[in-house]
Amino acid sequence: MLTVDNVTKCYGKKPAVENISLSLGNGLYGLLAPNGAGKTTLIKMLTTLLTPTSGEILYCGTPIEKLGAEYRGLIGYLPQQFGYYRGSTPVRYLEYLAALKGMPEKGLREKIDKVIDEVGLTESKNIKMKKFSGGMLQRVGIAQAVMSDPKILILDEPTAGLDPKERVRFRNIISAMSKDRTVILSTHIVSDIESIANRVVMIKDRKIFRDSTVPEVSKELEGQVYETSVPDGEYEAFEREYFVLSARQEQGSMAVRFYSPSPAPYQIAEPDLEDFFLVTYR
Amino acid sequence: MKIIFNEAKKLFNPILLVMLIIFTFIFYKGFFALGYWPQFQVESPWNTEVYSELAERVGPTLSRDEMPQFYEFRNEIVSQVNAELQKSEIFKENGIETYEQYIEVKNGLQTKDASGEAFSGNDEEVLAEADRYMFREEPASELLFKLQDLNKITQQIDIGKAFATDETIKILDGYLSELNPEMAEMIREKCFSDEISLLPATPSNVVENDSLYLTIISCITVFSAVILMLITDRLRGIYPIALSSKIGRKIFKIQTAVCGIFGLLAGALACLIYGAALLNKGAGVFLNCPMDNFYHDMWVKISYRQYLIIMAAAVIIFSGVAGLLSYIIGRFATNYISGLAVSIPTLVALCAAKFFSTAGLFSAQRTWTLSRFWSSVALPFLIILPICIAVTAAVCLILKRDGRRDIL
Repeated sequence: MLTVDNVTKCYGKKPAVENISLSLGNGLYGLLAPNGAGKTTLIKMLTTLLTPTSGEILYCGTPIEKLGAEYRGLIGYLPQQFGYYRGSTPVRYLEYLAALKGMPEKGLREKIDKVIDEVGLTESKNIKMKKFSGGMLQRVGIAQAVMSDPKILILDEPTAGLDPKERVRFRNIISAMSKDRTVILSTHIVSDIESIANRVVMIKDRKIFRDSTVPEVSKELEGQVYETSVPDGEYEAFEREYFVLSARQEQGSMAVRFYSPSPAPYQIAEPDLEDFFLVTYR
Repeated sequence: MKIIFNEAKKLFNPILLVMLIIFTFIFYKGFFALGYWPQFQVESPWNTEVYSELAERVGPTLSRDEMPQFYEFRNEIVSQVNAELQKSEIFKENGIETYEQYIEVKNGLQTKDASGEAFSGNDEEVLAEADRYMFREEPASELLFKLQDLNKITQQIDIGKAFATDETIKILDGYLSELNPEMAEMIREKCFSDEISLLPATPSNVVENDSLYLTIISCITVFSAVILMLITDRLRGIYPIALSSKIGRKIFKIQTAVCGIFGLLAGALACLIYGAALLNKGAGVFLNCPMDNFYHDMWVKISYRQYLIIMAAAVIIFSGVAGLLSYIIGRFATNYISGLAVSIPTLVALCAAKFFSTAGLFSAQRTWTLSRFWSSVALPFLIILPICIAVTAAVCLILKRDGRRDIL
């Protein structure tokens, strides 16, 4: 169990996150907030790269600074900007990181081959990474994060650069892994976590704004999301009156999904996590 | 161990290695005195050769008992010179058939020339022939230069500077009274020594000159490899993954150790290659020669071998310091340009420190204004020790800070 206990982090005098408290057991936690909200700061504290200004982070009741290498040995981490050596191949690079992670030599090559296969890079495993696309590099990053079979998997914007097919594959891998470990997935892309997260943690104004399940969060907007069709000439006036969540051009009109806190004379729609995200951070 | 090996492997950038080899080759051709062996500075090439031949015959030193062997050796060369002189018609016409006659006539003409006396046509012809023999006629030129260098030994004996007796030392009384008492005592002691070291000027002068360039080469190698690796690691974003892995911030300590060891090894490798080249040139015969003789007045009684070891140790120490300094620069430089900008003055300062700490090391001639203590012990240590302590302390502070600081 990973516990974040009233943690605040300041850069100079400016707070990046304030009084964050969380309890994270096995399962997938979606850390959802727009860019610059403090997700990466929280992630870096969880990975020991940053030290909290106040409060503490505990693993099974012990502060993570005290656990040191023991705690870091339980982490798999994919940073927002995945670092790699351009002249290295995925196999060589994973071998290098395996040594840093303290993985035993025995069976290492098989383990590396297995994770490379899982992320679909078997055919490119001996090609220098300077020839890789952004998506391929991100897959190497995912492979390194999961290869040590970590108890806590922390992924910061992991789907950046992945195409839709790769995203689905990635979600399936992560979802399967979350059964017996803690997976923290930080993102500003709602669809990455909507279907797989057990819990959604949203940060707003440097503080935890919501910490609940996806249906619970979505339910908060029940009866406040509507759908309708607006003629092209009236759309501008409509947009001024309501907060439009999405709009799709149809023949001579716009199919609009919008938010209204007060009852509106339109068809009520089923709210989802993306609606809540957009309303929260509008 | 594997982590150490992995970090060390990152230092070996093939492109950089090729560039450094080319740079070293150009630097060797341009600056190294070893390329001019056996000649260096004012000495003729035959100076080193003749002492090498004599050392092979009598050993690293010439004792009073070995003087007959010395004269035998000298006479062999004199006989060859005589045979060469007798080939000249001009010398024959002027009655010059032996080396002694050649020297007497040549000195006489040079004195005449210096005093402004009028030269006859024959005088000019003889002097021109004497000069031709001295500088252009082979093998006479080589033999005459060899004799000139061998004569330095007999001259030292004649003026009381070697194999002195209570009588001959009186010749030096005036000279010794001009010196500071410490130096006068050192020279007096040498005058009464039973042995003359056969180490010529070139071997130690070459090493002193080249040790600075060896330091420059190894420091440039270390700086470029280490700073390139560290800045690349940071710019590529390697640290977040490395520091959140099990090894954590120990990676900084490992990198520091790897950089320091790399510096020491680069210095050692440079010295080994240079040492092999030096021995290949023929310096091996002088290894057991004492450094202190009429070419070098030394405060400390060491052999040429010990001198080489001390100079190599200095190169290795400075190269090791370069490893740690480049680690500090590499950790703080934000990009390659700023790394280069800080490296250049640091390298200059480091090489200047090497120069001042070992220039004229233990020599009473070059540091004649300093006492035995200052020139042989305090000066080198006052430069080297504080540098080592300051750099090590700086690295320790950085490592301590790295253990706690935020990795942004």
